[in-house]
Amino acid sequence: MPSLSKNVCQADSACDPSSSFIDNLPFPAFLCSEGLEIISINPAMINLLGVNTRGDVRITSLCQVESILGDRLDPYPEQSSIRQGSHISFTNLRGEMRYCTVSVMPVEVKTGKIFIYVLQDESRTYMLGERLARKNSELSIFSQVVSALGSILNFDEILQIILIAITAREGLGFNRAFLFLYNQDERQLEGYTGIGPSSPEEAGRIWSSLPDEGRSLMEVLKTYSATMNDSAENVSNRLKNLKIPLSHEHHILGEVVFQKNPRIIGGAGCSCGSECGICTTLGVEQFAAVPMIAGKNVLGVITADNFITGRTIRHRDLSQLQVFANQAAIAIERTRLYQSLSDYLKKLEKANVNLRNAQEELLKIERVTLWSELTSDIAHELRNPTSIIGGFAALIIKSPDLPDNIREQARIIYDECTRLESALNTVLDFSKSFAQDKAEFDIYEVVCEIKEIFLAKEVNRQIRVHKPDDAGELVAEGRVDQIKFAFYTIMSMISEKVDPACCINIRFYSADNNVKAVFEIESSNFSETDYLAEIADPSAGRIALRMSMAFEAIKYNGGNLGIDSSAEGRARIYVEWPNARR
Amino acid sequence: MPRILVVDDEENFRKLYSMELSSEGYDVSLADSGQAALQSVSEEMPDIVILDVKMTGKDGLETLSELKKQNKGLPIILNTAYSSYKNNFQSWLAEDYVIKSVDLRELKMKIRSLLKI
Repeated sequence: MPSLSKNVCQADSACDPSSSFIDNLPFPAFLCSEGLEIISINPAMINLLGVNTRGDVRITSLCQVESILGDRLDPYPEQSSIRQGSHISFTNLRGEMRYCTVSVMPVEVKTGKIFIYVLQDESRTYMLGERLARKNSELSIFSQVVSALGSILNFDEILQIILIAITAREGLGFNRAFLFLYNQDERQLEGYTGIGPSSPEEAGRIWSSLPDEGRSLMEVLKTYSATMNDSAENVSNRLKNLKIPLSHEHHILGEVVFQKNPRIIGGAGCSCGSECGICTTLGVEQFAAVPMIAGKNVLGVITADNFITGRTIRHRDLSQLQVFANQAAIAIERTRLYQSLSDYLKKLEKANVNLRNAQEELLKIERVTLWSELTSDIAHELRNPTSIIGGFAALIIKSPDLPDNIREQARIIYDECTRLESALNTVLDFSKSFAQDKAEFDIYEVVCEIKEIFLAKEVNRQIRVHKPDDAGELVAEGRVDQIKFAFYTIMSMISEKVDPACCINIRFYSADNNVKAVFEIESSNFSETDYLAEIADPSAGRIALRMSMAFEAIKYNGGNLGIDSSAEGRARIYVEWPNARR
Repeated sequence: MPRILVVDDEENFRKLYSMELSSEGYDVSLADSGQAALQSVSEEMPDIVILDVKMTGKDGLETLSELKKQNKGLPIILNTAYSSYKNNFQSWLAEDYVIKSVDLRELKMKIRSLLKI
């Protein structure tokens, strides 16, 4: 505040107050009579009011000043809203916003009383303060954006934060922002995502729903996510179809990408003219485009515009936008790196699981192989004494002078040795089949083949095979000899257990990615308990041992053997494998 | 009377074969090892040899090879509890291969076939 009292004292003592001494004052001031007429007004005051210097408007009364300032300046305290040092703000005749402090002082002169009005123009300070506050807010948002980007690894989430920060009032305050990724192979920019209203109505709805100020980034994000979801989706969907080829070297966006220069495109002074057509595409007269640079590569371009407000984009906006674009590029690059590391890690984990499975499979194979070798050794070792006992029994049977009871006993020994030898042969056949590699087989064809072999021995047994026309391919994978052994054993077991007059029906199915053969017995009195007893109790006899081995063989080859009931309540044995063709 | 040499390290097999084949009218001599078989053949040539494979000391395949070196025309039947020796190319030197069994009919049939009886 200038030293008003000193100046007035000088005026009072040295000059005529009605003279133009105030003209020389460096701050806005004017003199007013008791009749509230302007005695004198200095150029600084004239300028503050925005009155042009051509003299089109003459300020002659306090009322005129009041009408411009929008406040009562009456020198009499009871009639005035103005006190010493009151702050006022007004829009002057040039349309400029002004912020001032007003003081009024009465002075006694020879002709009576006059009033000296002194104003201090604080507009610049005020505007600087506002700008500082705005910068503070921007920096705060920027700091929060950087901090948020540092902890987020989701690509789309990062882009959303960037775009919201660009469009939020607390951020750069653009109306819309779009992100284009650069496709190096196609040499074109491809719309990826965008944010902003698509019409003034939508803008009004969104902006009116946003709280005024003082929000943190997270609050801004939440509000935007809630209010802009639909419009963001609309904008993004439209944008995703947008492809901008940059084959033309002088394309304005090509310059942004290839020369890595941020640009304000369109508006006064735009050099691209109407050739690039981007302004038309975006539906604006002017927009800002900044490259997203990571290292030596340009990942894409962010564009921002004031589609609704039409506010002119300044170079200051452009440089701020570039800062956000750089952060976006770094975050995108880091996300891509993280994604590739994550993919690599998944591959490693998968490989690890495969390796572990392979190890388990190997262990299983080794175990089964060991078991099979052991079985084979035992079977061989048993074969020699069996042959000897049976051989001697045969010799005894042939002796001419033998009592009948001894001959009968020798025959029993011979028969049992023959039976034991047959069981040993089965074990040896089974062990041998473990040397095979897995191969694809048609379950239907294998069963048919085994049925023919089986019927060659069991000529009176009836076996019917039913394959529906729509069963399709019944291809599974396994060691075919072991599977043949398993089917042969199942047929033998059923055949030995059920009445010779019963027919064995074998039905085939292909469902739920499995191929399946189901063994049923017509007129069966064969219960699930019988099946289970045969399968679960190896001590129950030779067939039970073979069934256990058949079960193991099917399991070892990735299949499953089980028992269920038909719709009529008959027990059935089913054998199933995953379909190798699905 | 055709002479058969039975080579087996299991005494009971030797006894069984001796009794069974003797009852069929063959002149049966016995050897309990590959070495003994070579000795026996060098002293008195048999018409046919029934040779076990898995024996302690010199095994059947080694004995087979040496017997064939001594007398290429001597018919030899490998007689073993193991079918896997069929896959060993050394066993191909033998005229036939019979798995040991309670039922000796196959063995006796092969003997008759080789002796052309």
